[in-house]
Amino acid sequence: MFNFLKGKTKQKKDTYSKSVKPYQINSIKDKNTTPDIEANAEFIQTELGKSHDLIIKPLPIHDKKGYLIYFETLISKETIENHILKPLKKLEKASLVINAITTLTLKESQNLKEVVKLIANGYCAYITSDNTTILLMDVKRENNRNVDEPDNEQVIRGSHIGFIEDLSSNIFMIRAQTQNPKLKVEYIELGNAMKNKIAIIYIENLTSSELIKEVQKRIKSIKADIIQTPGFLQEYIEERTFSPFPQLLNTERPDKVVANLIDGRIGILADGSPTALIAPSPFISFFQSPDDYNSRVLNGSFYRLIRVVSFFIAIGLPSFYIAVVSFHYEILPVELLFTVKSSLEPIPIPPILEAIFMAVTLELIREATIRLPSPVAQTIGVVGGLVIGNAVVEANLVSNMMIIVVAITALATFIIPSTEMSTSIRLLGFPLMISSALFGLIGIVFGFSIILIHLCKLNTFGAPYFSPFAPLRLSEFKDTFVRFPTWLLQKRPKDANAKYRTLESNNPREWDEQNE
Amino acid sequence: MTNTKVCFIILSLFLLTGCWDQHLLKNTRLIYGMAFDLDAENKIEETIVIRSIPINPDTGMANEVVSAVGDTINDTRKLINEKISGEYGGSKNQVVLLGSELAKIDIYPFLDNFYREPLSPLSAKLGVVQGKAGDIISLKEKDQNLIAEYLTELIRNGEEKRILPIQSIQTICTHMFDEGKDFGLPLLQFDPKNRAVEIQGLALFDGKKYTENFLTPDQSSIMMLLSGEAKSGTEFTYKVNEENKENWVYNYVSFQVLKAKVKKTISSTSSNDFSVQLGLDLAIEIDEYPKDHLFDEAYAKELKTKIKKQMGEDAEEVISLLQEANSDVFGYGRDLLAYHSKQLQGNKLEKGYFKKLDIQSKIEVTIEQAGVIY
Repeated sequence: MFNFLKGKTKQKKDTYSKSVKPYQINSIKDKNTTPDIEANAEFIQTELGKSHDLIIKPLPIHDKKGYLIYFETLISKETIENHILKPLKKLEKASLVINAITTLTLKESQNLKEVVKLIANGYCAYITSDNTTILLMDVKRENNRNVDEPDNEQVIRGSHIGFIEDLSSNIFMIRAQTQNPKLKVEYIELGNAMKNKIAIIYIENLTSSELIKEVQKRIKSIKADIIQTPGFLQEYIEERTFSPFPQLLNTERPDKVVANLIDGRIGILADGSPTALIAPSPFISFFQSPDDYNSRVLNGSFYRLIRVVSFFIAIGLPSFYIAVVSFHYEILPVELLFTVKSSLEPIPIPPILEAIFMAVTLELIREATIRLPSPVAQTIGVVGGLVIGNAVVEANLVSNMMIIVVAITALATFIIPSTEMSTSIRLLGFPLMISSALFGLIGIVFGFSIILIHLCKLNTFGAPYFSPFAPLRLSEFKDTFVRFPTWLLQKRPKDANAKYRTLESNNPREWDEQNE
Repeated sequence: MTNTKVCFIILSLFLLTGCWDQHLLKNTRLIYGMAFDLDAENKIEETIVIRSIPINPDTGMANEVVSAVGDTINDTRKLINEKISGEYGGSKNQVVLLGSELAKIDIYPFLDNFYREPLSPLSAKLGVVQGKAGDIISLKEKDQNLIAEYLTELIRNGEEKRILPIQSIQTICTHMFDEGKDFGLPLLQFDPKNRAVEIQGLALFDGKKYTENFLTPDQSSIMMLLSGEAKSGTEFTYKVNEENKENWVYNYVSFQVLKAKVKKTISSTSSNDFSVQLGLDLAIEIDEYPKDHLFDEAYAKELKTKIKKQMGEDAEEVISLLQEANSDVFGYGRDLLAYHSKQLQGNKLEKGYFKKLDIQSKIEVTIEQAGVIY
């Protein structure tokens, strides 16, 4: 039915299904073990991208060379200590290593490809110099800490886990979800007075090397006493700190990070903080939520549209209202005009002061509810919303209309999935309000033009921030105002400049074609 | 450093322009309707109605009527501004009434201000009042309806029923200055005894002047069919029989126009002498005809001929009325100028060209539907 949407791509050569790309799981070279233990270790290390969390631990037994290879972020240290190290220490000369190990799952393999895959899956490999068979023990860690859904990024459908404060647990979540051996982690230690471990995560052979270099360069160049959280880091590495728009996406959701990694972006995590930064993050990515992809196409698209509308409401509704009641009331229909006028009649202050008063009150309530413990916070919500709202109208300080306008605006800002972006937009409302109070609709036009110019000029790690609107990339509109079905989103977004842009074969719904 | 200076200068330019043309909604008194009349001393009397909002909004809306006498529109407006509390806000005006005495002279001077002022309401309805227009506005309320709302609804209803052409201050502007087309405005009548306002018909204009001739609502409907303005929806009731004396309702037929098609050809016999063949094809639906028997083709044909005949007579009467008033609502002057300018003397329309036109109307009627019982 939607074949016409696929259009010309149908005739194009299907580059996706015919070859294996070096970032995909199957790209590991098929190779058998050699007697040379160093060569085996070297092979495993290169295939796993020399990730910084890959540990190659020398473990000689009775003068025979041996290496224990594992991802420290994937395994449970206790299991290795109790079931591998302890028995091997007590091992007698005559007995076999394989008999001593007490892990539940134990595999033998002579195929290095399999070894690499299993290591990426939470296995621990043991290679010795006298044997071409590699022992593989399942030592994957159990998640023993509660990983709750982040309170600030909840979804209806989709995974409900969130990052925690421990860096290796966070990397474990990403590794466990991708299981891609090409997922590379790089650690960088930062801070002169307080050390903190920063992890840069990306998929090797997929992420553009210029982007990796840029991120590495920026992070390594930081000379500071303290880098406590990604919030500090963000200000050091983003292009324009004084811009109201965040240029790095903050998220506490592993699924969001993984989806971005597959798009060729880079994730930045820091020890002690559950927040991941994603670079580069174009403007539209702050309006995308995992919910869009988890729900049906029409539903997802509808909520995407609602979010775009809510952006305009959040940024422009109060200023538009001010412009109308103080400059251009003739644009209102007569019936509406009289409702507005009758609510405005007893108000002693000009509309701009009304709006600022209400907006500030709203921010007060918001801040108060965050700081207070949650049972009290609810009371504050009731007191703020009902009592203040009612009393203010009754006292003729603020008109009914303004309460409606501010309330809708507040709701609209909270619809935007990223808290950073929603606060930025709320903040931008104030200068627009002032300009509309000074110049009416023309002031709003000026304000919007300035914002638009700024957005077009912004860059995020070398990629245009306002893409795909400026520069215009029509093919990427499939995932902006509406969300097309995933089988039509065949290309990765261009902003990250990934080495391979095709995401799926030309015809991912092959069964459907066969039916025709 | 220079950058900050430049920024400072640009920002202060915005704030130092010195004019702040803010007009707050809450400070304006919204004018809802206005009327112009000729005073005894040949001065203009403007009566306006303001929709005022009482302190307690639950009690509903109220009207306030203010009038002033001055030399020009702006003069009266200045005087009115002295009488009302708050700014004069004319941008939501719904209806403008003109007294017939004043309309007879020239209506443009009273509308001039509307076309110049950017905030003026060009979509307001216009009407001519037989007698004094201010009297209607002074009614304040008509059967619980605020007067301005009542008037706009009255005129709008007439437009929907195809009695009046759809017009506003904006649309008549070009017609006032067009030598080849005239227009008509709703003619209202005020009965002070019963406090009643009703549409008397269509006041015919010649240029910018009211000609004192008018069409009744029925004639106006036919005029709109002939000019092609009404394409469907016009309703008529005709007496087609005489036979039934007791049950007189049996003598009548009511029908509605489903489709109207106008075809006109203008030909010139000699220089400055033109004739118009006006063909009107109507497809009608019978809405009410107690006598019925329309399934019989002979009966249907008979009824059709009767309707056709009466309509033809009515059309001729309308055309003669229009020609008497010299009100070219059909816009034949435009056609003459556009297609027959060679036959015109000096390539110009002479005054009263419309009176001299020989207009032959021919009406064809087909009964297309006769309701469910057919």
